[in-house]
Amino acid sequence: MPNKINRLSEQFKNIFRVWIQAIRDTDAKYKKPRIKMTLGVRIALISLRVYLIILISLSFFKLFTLIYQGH
Amino acid sequence: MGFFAKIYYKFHRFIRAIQLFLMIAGPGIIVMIADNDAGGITTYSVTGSKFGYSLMWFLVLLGPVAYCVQEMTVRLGAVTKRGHAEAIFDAFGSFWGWFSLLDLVLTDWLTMITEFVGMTAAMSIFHVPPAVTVLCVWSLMIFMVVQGKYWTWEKMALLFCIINLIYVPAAFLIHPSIKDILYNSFIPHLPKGGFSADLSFLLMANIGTTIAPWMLFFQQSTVVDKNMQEKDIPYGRVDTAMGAVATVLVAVFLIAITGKLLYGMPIESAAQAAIKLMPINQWVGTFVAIGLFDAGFLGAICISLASSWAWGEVFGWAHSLNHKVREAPWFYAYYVFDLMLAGTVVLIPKAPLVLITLFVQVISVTLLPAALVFLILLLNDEETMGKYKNTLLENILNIGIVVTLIIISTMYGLGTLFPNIYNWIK
Repeated sequence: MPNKINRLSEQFKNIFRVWIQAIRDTDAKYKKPRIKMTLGVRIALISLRVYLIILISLSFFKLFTLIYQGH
Repeated sequence: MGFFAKIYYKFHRFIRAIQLFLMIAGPGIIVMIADNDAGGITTYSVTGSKFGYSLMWFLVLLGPVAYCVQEMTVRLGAVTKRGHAEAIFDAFGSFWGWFSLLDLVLTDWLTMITEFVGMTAAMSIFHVPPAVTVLCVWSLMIFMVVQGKYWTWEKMALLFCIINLIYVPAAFLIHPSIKDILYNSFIPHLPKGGFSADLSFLLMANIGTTIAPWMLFFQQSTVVDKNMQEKDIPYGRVDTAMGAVATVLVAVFLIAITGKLLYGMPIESAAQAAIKLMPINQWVGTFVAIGLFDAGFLGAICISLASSWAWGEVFGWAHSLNHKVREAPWFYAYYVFDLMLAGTVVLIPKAPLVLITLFVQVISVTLLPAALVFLILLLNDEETMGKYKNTLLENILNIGIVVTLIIISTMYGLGTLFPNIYNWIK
């Protein structure tokens, strides 16, 4: 039984390693963007992203509030 | 060339064009009708029961908006021969690529849950237990993709699209006032009570069900999987426009049903609407329930594929419906994993599924501007798009859509923080 568990955990570790490697390979493959963005565009995109994350957090806040209130 | 010979030649060309269109048609119609998914049907049912016919114009307006957005993915897919996820990674690098992919995975998974919520609720009306529905849906969805042909999958999906139009005959069964429908569809006006946090929530949910991030990824991937070429773009546009008309028709006719028969009733979901409709008109109630199941099923097959395609593109796995399972194991494995995960959540007892369904639409629309900005930037890349890049008018329209979405999301956010903020607008 412990052997089986060990083998299973080894298989999971292998799958995990493959995934991590795939993510690293993808990162390396697309390291250099083809379209060069100016600093202004980059700041605008990051600001938009942060703003949307705040709005999403508000949505989740409302969802949990309603669930808590028993809706 | 004689007169009759000219007519024959033109007729022959017309028939050839129709034949070509029928071969190319599919992605646009499927994505547009699939966007009337279970969450969409729930949103329309709630909209009709809460505001009657008074928001029909908003849905009619969303048809061209959806067309403008989706048409860009047809051009991008046909020109670059790349799926949307891959196009973002390639153009903007892995930092923005991962962000987009995570947005897609999050919204897809949440939306998949709402599809299963819809399907199980619809089948419960016919006394089918949720576990049986989930198992049957898993089997049917796996069967649809494992036969290894995009063409076969597409034709099966089109069959479910036709069933989605069931709301049109259902609406005629209750003899709605055509004059009221036309007036409310084409004259913009606020419902009784003016602007409110409730209204902003439903407006957001309606946008979220008409345009969603998964639709961008899905249509571009289907265009690539179908091997559409630049010369096929005009047919792709007609296909998308026909889908946009169909999606608006379904929305308007469902609101015609719920707005006439359930106006003022506290309806929270499409399944509840179907149950309330049964004593009033059994056929209409049954049609709404069948339509709800179909909408969930159609949404689920498209959304799970959108995610699988995206992962395949980014990681470089084989990712086509034309591949057998052994040729693209990860592509099909993710598809099945997505199905299993979403289906299992629905079986959790006492989960607030209806509330989750409406919130998923809101989250989708909040994340939409980020996806649209990248799409617009890609469509303005002259090096890649050449003569198919966005025109000035297209840019104005699409940037207008993004700005409007951000404004509506902000209004919703403000309404969440300060619930009484809209009391002065009456």
